[in-house]
Amino acid sequence: MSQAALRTGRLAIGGRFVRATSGQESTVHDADGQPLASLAQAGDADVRAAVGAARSAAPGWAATAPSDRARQLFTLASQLDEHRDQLTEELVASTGSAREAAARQVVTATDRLAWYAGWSDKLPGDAQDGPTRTTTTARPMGTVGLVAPQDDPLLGLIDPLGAVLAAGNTVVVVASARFPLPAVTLAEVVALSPLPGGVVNVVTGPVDAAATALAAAGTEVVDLLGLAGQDVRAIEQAAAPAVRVLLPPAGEPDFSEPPSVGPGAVTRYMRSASVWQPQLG
Amino acid sequence: MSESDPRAWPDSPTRLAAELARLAAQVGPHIGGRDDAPEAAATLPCTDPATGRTLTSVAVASPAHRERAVEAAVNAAADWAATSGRLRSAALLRLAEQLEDRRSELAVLETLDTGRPVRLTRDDDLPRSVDQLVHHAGWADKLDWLGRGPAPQALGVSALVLSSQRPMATLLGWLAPALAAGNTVVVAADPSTPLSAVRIAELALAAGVPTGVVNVVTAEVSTTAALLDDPAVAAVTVPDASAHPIAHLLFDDAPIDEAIDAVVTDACSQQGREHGGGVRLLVQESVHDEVVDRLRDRMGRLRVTDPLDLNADVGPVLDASEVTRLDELVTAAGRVGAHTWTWPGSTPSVGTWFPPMLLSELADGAEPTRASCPGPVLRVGSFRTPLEATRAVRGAPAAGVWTEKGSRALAVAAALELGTVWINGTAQLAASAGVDRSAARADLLDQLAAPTPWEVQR
Repeated sequence: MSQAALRTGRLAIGGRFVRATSGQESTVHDADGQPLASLAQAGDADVRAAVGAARSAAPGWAATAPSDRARQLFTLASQLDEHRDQLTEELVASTGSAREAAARQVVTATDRLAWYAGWSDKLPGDAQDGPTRTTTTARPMGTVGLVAPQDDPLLGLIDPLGAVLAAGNTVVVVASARFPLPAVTLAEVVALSPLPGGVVNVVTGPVDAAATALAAAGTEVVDLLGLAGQDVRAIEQAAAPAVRVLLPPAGEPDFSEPPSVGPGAVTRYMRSASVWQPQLG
Repeated sequence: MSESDPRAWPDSPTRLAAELARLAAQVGPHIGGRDDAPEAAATLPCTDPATGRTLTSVAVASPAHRERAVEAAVNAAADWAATSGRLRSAALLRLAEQLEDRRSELAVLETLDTGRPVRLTRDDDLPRSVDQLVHHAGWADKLDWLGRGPAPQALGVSALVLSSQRPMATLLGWLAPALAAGNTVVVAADPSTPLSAVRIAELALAAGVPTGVVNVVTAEVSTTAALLDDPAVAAVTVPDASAHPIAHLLFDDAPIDEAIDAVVTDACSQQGREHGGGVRLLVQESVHDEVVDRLRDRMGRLRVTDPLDLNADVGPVLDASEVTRLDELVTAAGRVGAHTWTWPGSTPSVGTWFPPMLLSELADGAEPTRASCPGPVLRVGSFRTPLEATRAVRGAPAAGVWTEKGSRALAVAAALELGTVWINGTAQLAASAGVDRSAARADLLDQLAAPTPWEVQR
């Protein structure tokens, strides 16, 4: 593939596609070492801009009726499905996996997003205790910084992303550094979807620096899923006050089945709000 | 025919109706994906209750039709249940899209068929039905999370008997969970109001629901009985025949204007049709007379006119037999001492109409107080204490509690021990809050096999 035909990827911030403020770019290679794409490299300022965009979009998205969020996410899933050939090619080229396995991955990923879409308006809440009525609702946290898994670049991104969005949060995704292209394509499809700008922001670039910048920028949640098995104490220390840091697992998870905790995967990115009222005649 | 502004009409309802009036000369059973040219048991005219005009003729299903419908459903059952939840979900989403694309057309069809104001069929019923389809689409791929174990089983063939009360909304609200669960269905539509059911069966096919999954028979009562007895039919949902009126309790500190507006709308426009029994208002004694005066004033301003008119508040009743029942109810109420007030205008001279009426001073124990009531009649009684109010409401399918005092609202709501209570609202309050999630879950569980918890294997 000649340099002239090289795909370019920009940072997806606030519904627009922008270069890194530093102008830095990096070439991604396929499994055979051939250049695949030239992607913008996010620096601290870019991560802060992405968090700003996510913050601006957060109140609107949180206030969106859960059933409307469900419908928008269903539409996004269907649009991703329309791009299945491109996504399959990317997986084959990036990871070297067999075409059939890659095609199945893509189907699983779009099915998974649709699965999460349907959870948006089915999350648990509410109770009645004796003479006091408690209304407990699960509410979005606000903005989530999500460090996507390194090795499973499509399904491993879409699974936690589906959960974050069904919960009503806006998000800044730090793409896998190893296989960043599926995240770039996802951002492009999101721009075609009903989701308002700023709900899903995607940055490519060095992962540790981006994760630290996210934690410092103070999203309500930072999920370090993509740093499996790593020591993240420095990131935790850099975190702004009141940031909920979700620590990485010991090894990268297997995303082939929906999580066995079901809606628990969504409420993980939510906070509980309770209202108590006395009942007197 | 997609509409980007949901409030925009592609054409006036009246002109749409004129087009739809070029309906098939005959509407009949839709079985196994075919509109069978029936050897019908009989043919009946399908009338527009607002004008008395014949819309089309309906082929009434014979026993052979019923048998063929059940057979088609049985034949399609195994494949449909085995279809992945994700694919059933996708089919339900496509059906929702079909409904949205044809929203005006379907709304006008239902209005022509039943007389329900088009503003309600289009802007209340259809959006709610679309929401229910989408909601259940979101359950179809996660039935293992309903609380019925890791692999809940479909029932097989599930049947619905439709009355003439809001048949389109009733069908769609039932169809969503039935299909999500993986059941194939047989719908017995009342032959006087079958149009939306047949059209929805066609749309299901267009949405990619396989042949034989949705079957409609335009059937009379004997068919219902036969469905109940048919061993191939796993479950039959029938309309509640004993419809009692919804009750609204209006306390002395209620937001009176709001309450009056909502209750009059419920009684005269919606005609309590969600539950079929009409609407009863119980007013605390200290504000009773003032409220009755304001009710008359509010009801006097109702627009009783062509249901295709977007400004219509009250449409016709279904047929002459309903007019008779309502006349009998009013006469009986008069005999037990009720005061009757009639809307002062004149109803259209064609079609079957009943003027809105207010029946007040109805004693709690009198028979006409709780009789079912298929028209725009509001029954009013009074109470002194919350305890009296609670007792008076027994037997109601649902109730509204109107008071500004939050703790009293909650206490009374709990004391009523009903499945549904609205605080400072009517069924429209619940409707505006989106799909009733616990009802949706319950409806879906009803469409699945129900072993005891200890029979369910991990």
